[in-house]
Amino acid sequence: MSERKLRVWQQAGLIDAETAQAIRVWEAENGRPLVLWAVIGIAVLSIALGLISVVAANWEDIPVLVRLGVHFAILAGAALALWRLGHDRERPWREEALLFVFGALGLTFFGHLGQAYQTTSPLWQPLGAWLVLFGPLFLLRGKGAPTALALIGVLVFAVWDYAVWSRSGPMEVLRFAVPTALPLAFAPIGAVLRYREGRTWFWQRLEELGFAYGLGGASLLAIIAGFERFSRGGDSAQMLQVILIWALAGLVAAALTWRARPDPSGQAAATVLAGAAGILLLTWPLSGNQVIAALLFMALWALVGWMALKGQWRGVFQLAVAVLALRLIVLSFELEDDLLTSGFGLIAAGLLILGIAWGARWVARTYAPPKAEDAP
Amino acid sequence: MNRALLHIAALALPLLGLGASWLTTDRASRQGQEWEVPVQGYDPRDFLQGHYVMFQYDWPGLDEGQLGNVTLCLQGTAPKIDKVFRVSDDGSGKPCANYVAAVAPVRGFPNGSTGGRLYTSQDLALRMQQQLADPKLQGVLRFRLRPNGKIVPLGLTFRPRPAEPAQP
Repeated sequence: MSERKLRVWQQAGLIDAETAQAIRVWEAENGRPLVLWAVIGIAVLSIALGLISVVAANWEDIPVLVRLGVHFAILAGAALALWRLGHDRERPWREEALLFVFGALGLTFFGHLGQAYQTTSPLWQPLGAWLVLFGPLFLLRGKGAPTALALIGVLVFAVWDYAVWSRSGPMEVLRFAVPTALPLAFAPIGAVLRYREGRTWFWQRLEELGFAYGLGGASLLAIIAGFERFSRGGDSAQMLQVILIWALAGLVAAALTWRARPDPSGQAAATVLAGAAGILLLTWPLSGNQVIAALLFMALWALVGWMALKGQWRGVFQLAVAVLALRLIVLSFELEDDLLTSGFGLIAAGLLILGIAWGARWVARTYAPPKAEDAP
Repeated sequence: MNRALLHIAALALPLLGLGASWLTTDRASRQGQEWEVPVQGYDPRDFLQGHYVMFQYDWPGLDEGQLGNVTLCLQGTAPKIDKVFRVSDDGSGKPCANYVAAVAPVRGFPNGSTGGRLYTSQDLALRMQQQLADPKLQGVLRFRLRPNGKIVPLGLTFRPRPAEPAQP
């Protein structure tokens, strides 16, 4: 909350001194300390990176057993501290930071083991083991964005590493498409649990990240569809099956989100997920053409913009307008290769970019819904 | 469900899982016999990535052309290898007493029966990189061959390279 704004309003006679003071008190008690969260996030991340470096430095002089023993003892100490801290409603960031460090220590322990015993394994194996071992604790005690990001980040890395490793052999389509669709599950899970559990802040982040994974994936596929024709070539049938599985996952996630959150914001999120699934299905027959791929991409983001209006997500609306404008600019260069070579072409391109940017800015400002707490 | 119990279980699970992983890794590292094999740097430009050195095996009795990720049988008395020959492995059991299993090749670093990597400290890795590049030195890898055909590198030593027979 801006102290400067409060003073300006008070001077303008909009609020009196008592109201201003009441606002200050309320904000001090209920405001989310965003700066504090950011600082803690950076600090915790730096600690985690430092831990990785320290393990990687591989002190030759310390016997393996001692090294691993110390690492394990720190892990046990962190677990004990987490137990004693309990659910800290006053200072959730302490718990969050400790949880994050505990998780980072656990992940580096796998690397440390491999280094000490000279074993190598594909990356998805330690990441998967970490999810099994630490996932329940993170879901049980996560309080905010750092733990939510850690969960989804590890899951996304693990499933894609697995998918790339197991591209041949029996049931290759299933083994590729099903794991890579998994992160999407966090969208409905977050949607269901944000109302049932106390930790709205954590579940909301998880829901948003699952939603972003689906939307980002569909956007990426729509971009690839511009220069790759999925329906041709030796693996076109597999590609179709993969897309069908992904689309089905998107539709299921959309339906569950719709059921869990019957409010406008939840319905908008579900509609975007369903729309992303529809775009995925269209990329298979329509891929291989720049213009059509760009239209698919823009259709998806136009839907995002429209639903952002319905769901009152201000930031997402502005993002959608910006993404649409960028895609338009890129498309104009894709279509007119010689725009850049001639002087008139350059002038025209510059004017076009200015026009699109101005138009996008105008739309984003004029039609953006007011700031709301409730992002998708 | 008792929430405190759930909480204890969630906190204990990582410790138990990591501890079990440590125990099994430790036990596995004690299985098998120790052997020695000459090695060469994997790629003359880049042996060192992070804190490990990469190398290719120079199996005695195998031509360079026969390299490739295949199942190999080692003959001799540990740690000295007398002869190595390739076998076709249908994946059903052990092809011979001391065998090196083939694994799916990975682009970028040698694995299976072609080569491997040895984690070490940064200083030592740099020194080993120079020694691997030195034509007068021959690197010898001491490794443990586990019963499942996997090679666990133990250490890298260097000795003067025997004189090459004159090329015709």
